[in-house]
Amino acid sequence: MLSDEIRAGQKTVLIIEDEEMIILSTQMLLESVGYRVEAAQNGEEGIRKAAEIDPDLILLDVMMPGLDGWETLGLLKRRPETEGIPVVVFTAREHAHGQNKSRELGATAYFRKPFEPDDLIELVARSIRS
Amino acid sequence: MASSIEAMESLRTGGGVLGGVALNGEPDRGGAGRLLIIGEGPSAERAARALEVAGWMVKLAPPTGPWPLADAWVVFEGASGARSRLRQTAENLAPRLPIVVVDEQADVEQAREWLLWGAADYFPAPGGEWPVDRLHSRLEALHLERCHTAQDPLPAAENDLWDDLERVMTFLDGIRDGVIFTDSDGAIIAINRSVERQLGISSLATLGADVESLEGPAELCALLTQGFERVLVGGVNEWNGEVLLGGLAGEPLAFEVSVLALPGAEEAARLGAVAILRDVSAVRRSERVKSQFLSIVSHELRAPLTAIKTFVSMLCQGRLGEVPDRQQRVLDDIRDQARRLEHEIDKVISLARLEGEDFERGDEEFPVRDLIEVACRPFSRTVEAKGLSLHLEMPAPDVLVRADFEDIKRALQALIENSIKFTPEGGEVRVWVEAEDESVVMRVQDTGIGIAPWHHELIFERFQQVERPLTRQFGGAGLGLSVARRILRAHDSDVELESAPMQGATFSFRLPRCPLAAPAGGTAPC
Repeated sequence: MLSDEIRAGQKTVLIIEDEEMIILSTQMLLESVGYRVEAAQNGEEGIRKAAEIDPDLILLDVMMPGLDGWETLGLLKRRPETEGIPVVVFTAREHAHGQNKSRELGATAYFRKPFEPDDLIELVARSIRS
Repeated sequence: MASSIEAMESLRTGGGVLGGVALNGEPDRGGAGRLLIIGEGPSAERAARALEVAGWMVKLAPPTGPWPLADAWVVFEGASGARSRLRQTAENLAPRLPIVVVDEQADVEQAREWLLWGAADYFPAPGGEWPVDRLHSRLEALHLERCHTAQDPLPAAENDLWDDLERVMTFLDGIRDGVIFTDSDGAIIAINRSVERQLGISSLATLGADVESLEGPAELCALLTQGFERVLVGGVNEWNGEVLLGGLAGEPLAFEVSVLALPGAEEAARLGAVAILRDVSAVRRSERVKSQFLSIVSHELRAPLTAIKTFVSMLCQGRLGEVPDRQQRVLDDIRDQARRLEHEIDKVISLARLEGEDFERGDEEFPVRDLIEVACRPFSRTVEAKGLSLHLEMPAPDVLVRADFEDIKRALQALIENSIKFTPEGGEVRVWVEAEDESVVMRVQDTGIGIAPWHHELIFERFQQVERPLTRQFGGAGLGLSVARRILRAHDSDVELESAPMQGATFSFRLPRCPLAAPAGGTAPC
């Protein structure tokens, strides 16, 4: 666990997710290994926050009211101020083309919920901007 | 051709019996056979009565049908009004059913056409006066010829079948399923009204035609042809298939086709075959709705489960502070149950997804070691609690396979879970891999209760276990192996099973191997 914390440093993760309990639990998990965590509850807010705080990684849900995850991802990758931020798509719903779609839109990884917390920590450490 | 020339000659000389035997004097009233007169009006009715008196069992059918089979047909051309359909039917049936035409017009061209289409004879009936005596004689001669000829295509047993069919079709016309009977050569001998609707064809026009010549939606006709061929030529007793057709309003139509052999008196002989066409569009539609429903519900279950798993894992791992031993055990159990719930939801989602219209599997390369490690992770505590040993034999060096990682993980988990469930305490479950040149074989072997050979297929059906539901001692909904098989079939592979009662079981499947060396480390790829 100590090594997780060292790896995390003071890097910032932005969670874009509409489920409050998932935000809270993921935030607590990532904060427990030393990340600073910010959250947005929809796509529009997520894009605004990403431009504002320039996080080192974005965890992006797919099924959200308003802009869904795919639209949000597309916009993040089209804007110069956010295009370089690595994005991990995570979803609780099976998507027929999820894996390929997230790759085509520029995501770093595609991750399914529920996840094993240790796997998420490992994935975040691997995907975060160095 | 000779008979058509004779017909014209005969017409020119004032009518008469054409192209056949003319008997003089009183007709034999000793009883002939079944006669169908296709026509209407007073002259047809008069002729029907007269032929009845002459000994025929006469049925009068309207020009619009239905036209039951008989020993001979008389078509009253002047009143037919359904000429093109009659023509097609006559062409199809003429080789085996004598058809005689009576025409009020005495038209040479019409006579020529009918004879070319295969009619056995043509009688002019000026003024609606049918030449009943000559007609009777000619029909009788044709009937005798048909009964006694060595090349009679309708042997006795088949004649019986035709007799029965006439009665049966009266009922079959009233059912929703399409029904097609053929003889042993694949020629259509009966077809019910539902087929007209399903194929968009005239059932009358297809009588006597070969199954292969059926017109209608190409995929459905191809399926029917295939089914009849398998039964009549391939020798199977029953054949089933299904086809999905694009509907007119965009709603797909699904048809289930069953072809059954009509056994003959001798072993392996066929009197013919019967196909049943069932429109299962509504059933498939409701299955799709069910799949969508399951997918949505499962998503709603997964979201809170994500939070529960994350919270409880943090507590279990002491990330939120030290936990006393007793509470630690409870937390571990909660985490295991959450994992189990996730696993069950995964199975339902997999099934819904595999049955969904938009199913498309992922295609990625990943190391087999990662797959085995991730797949086996949820079972460590169950194995320990049950007193089993779980041996993982990793390939060395590691190998890459190409598949959908999540799906294959679920399939492998279903096989492991099944082995754990049916292996008694003290037993062993072994997961091992055999790398071949172009494929990788993954095996799950156990020392469990085993499966009798006659249950080897049953266990892959949905909601099936070998035990009866009310008495069984092993839990589970019976979905796991069904999901595993569907996943592997979607990967052009399948689950193989070797097992016998009390001798354990080995489940195996094959995936395509990728030529490149496996990269070090890494989990599920993007």
